[in-house]
Amino acid sequence: MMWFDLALGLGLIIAAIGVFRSEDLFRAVVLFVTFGILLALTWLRLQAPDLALAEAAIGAGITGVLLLDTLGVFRQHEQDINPRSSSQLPDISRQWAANVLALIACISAAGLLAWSLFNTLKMPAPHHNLVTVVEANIAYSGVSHGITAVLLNFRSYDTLLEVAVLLVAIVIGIGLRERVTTSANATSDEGQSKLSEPPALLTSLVRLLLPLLLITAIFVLWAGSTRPGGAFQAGALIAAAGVLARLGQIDIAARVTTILRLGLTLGVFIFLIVAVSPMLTGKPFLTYPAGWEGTLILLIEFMLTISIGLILLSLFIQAPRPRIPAPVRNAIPATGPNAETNKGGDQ
Amino acid sequence: MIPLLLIIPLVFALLSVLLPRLPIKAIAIPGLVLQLIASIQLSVHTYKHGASDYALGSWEAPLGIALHANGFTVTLLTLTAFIAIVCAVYALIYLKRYEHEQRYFWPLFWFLLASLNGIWLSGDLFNLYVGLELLTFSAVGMVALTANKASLQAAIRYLFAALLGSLGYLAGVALLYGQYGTLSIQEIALISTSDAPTQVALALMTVGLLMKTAIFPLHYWLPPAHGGALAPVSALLSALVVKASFYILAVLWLQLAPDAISPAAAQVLGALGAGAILWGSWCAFRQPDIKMLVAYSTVAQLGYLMFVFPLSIGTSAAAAELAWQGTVLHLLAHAFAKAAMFLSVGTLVLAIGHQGIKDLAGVSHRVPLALFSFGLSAVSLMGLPPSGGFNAKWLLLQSALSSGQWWWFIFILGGGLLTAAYVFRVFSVSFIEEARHKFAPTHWLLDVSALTLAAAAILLGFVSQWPLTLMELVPGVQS
Repeated sequence: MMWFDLALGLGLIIAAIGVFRSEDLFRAVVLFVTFGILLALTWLRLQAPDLALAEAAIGAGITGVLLLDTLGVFRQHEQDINPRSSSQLPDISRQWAANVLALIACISAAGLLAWSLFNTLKMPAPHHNLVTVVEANIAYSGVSHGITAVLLNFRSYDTLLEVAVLLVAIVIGIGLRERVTTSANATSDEGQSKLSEPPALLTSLVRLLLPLLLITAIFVLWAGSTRPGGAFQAGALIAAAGVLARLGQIDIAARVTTILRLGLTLGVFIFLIVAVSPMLTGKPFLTYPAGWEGTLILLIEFMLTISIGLILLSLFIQAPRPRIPAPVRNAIPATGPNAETNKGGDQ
Repeated sequence: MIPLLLIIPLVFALLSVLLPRLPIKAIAIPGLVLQLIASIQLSVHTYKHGASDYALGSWEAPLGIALHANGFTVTLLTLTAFIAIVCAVYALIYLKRYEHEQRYFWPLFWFLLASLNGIWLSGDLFNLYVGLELLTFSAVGMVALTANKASLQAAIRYLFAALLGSLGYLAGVALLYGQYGTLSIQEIALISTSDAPTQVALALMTVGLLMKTAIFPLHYWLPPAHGGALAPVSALLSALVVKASFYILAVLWLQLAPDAISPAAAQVLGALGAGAILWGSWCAFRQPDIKMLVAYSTVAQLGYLMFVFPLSIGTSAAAAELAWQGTVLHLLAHAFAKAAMFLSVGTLVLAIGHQGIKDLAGVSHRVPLALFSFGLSAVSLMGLPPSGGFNAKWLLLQSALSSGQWWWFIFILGGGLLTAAYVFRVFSVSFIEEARHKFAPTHWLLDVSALTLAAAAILLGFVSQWPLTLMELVPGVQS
């Protein structure tokens, strides 16, 4: 197994270097997804299956899809997606110097980290051992899986803020998207980049996969209370299902309606209500009433799953998308999909 | 009472996301008043009964997350609530011209307040990280609001710089957790040692936080982000957002592991601060654009915050206390003055329609109140008496003298002169009689809100003992 670990570690480094060194953005994205999968395997080897699930679903899956989607937008603009050949870059020697500097900085930072990690491992066991504290208290948490207990009970405040971060991300996404579409010609019918009809194979595959993904998501959610799984992973699966459906041109939530907003905020909303309600009886914020922990955690996780799934999916759908290349657009220099946003934005 | 300061902004944030068609603007002000009342109430409570802890979810600290309210944090909470309410009044009027932007301004504004309050109150290293993330995303979103090319570029640059900073901070948190087995700041402060892994962790976190605080030479992202944003956004970012990462830095250095910090390291931070003052002032002096001038002024003024480290580490208790008091006053005075300055500049630009300093000709006649607020805040920034800025610099100077570090004396004093140099560039143009442009009328509330903040910066000079009395209740930070 040691050889496998070694190969895994080397593969991680090579994939990471590849992402940076790749001349072709598409290859860089593929390598990035590879990196994510290798990282998920690494977490698995480190016996952190929860992290592995999250990394595979979000780090490799959703992020990869978003990056590929962005690439597609670049391509539609028929712009040069190869950054190194564009003329704006500084001369070769300066770039070379910058590369060497970056390399030295990376190696020294990595060395420093590795050195202090080894030092930490050599030291006597820390004064506190939270693992035993968690084990001692898990009976009162309402779930039997330690990580879920930490995420949704002992440190539920962190999770509440984390989901708020996701919500902020999608608020920004919708805001930018709306900005782009309102500043674009309203007549261009949103230009949902009708590439062509999806291939028949894709459509049937999507029909097959969709229910499967949804069932898996529900299982992962349900499993969370006793073993690895939970809202974030299940949410990512739902988002993946949505993306697939989208690719198969089954439109679920393309428009920002009140219902979609409700879905986006549902998780935080329910979380907040459950967190605040014990304060009415004089208990601290985020306390679960005794005996109800398990039920309430499941309720929150269920709502969070819906919201996280919708948020991740909306990040994909609401990403600023260009209009259909109209004849009015006279060649704007290569500035990416944001170029046309200039029109309405300036004061 | 403590969690109310988290619940209020979160509830209003959710309402603003959910019901964009509702008059969010109208409900914002009552919400802000509630928040101000809650923070004042907490301040009074802290004044009467001393610092207090709050165990979230009834789980005590090493297992759960503790919120901690002491004299310093309640001062920051009240400052945040006050500046937020004034900026909100300003934004109500100012954003009328930005129909699209204001729909997304309010949710981000509330999330920003939630994260700021969360950071001031948090007693947990990882929770601070989550708070920083929420803060970063809301701030970046606010910079990107107008979605034109310049603001998107500034936002992306800000995002990358801030994420790099977060990464450094997070790596340090992981190392500290590996070593001490807990994330609670109070617990680690009790058992922290001065060994190498602790120092590596602190170094990583420090670099990350310096990046987020935009301390020279890691300030490159700040001027386009702060200078390019909408006026109320710039005010919030310069007055409050950069202070959050400074606050965490101060907690790490002065409270979490003071033994692990060498006086030499403190001198390095002081030198960065001196560099920030020189470079920021020089750049501000050369800016043709008034908003960029104010943004570079922030780079320079943030430098003063760094002097707390050389002045309080390895020095006498008396010098350390003076340094701490001076730094807190500087933080408050700069928050008021810089918010006032960005708001008044926003009004000026609105009236003229141009951002160039040369275009300001004639504003002394046509937009006198905005120029007056600008002048008042400049008085505090320069450190002229009577103002909060003067008292802050006075205390810092005394601390530099009593600890025998005359070299900081030069920078503290010289920084005031440099500030005067770039501020007077504005005045030399604004008193020219002949106007270059037509002036558009501006709403009186814009002037009032800028003036309120500028007056606060001046008034702070008379009531400096208020925050300082509260500050004496902070255990373990003075020395």
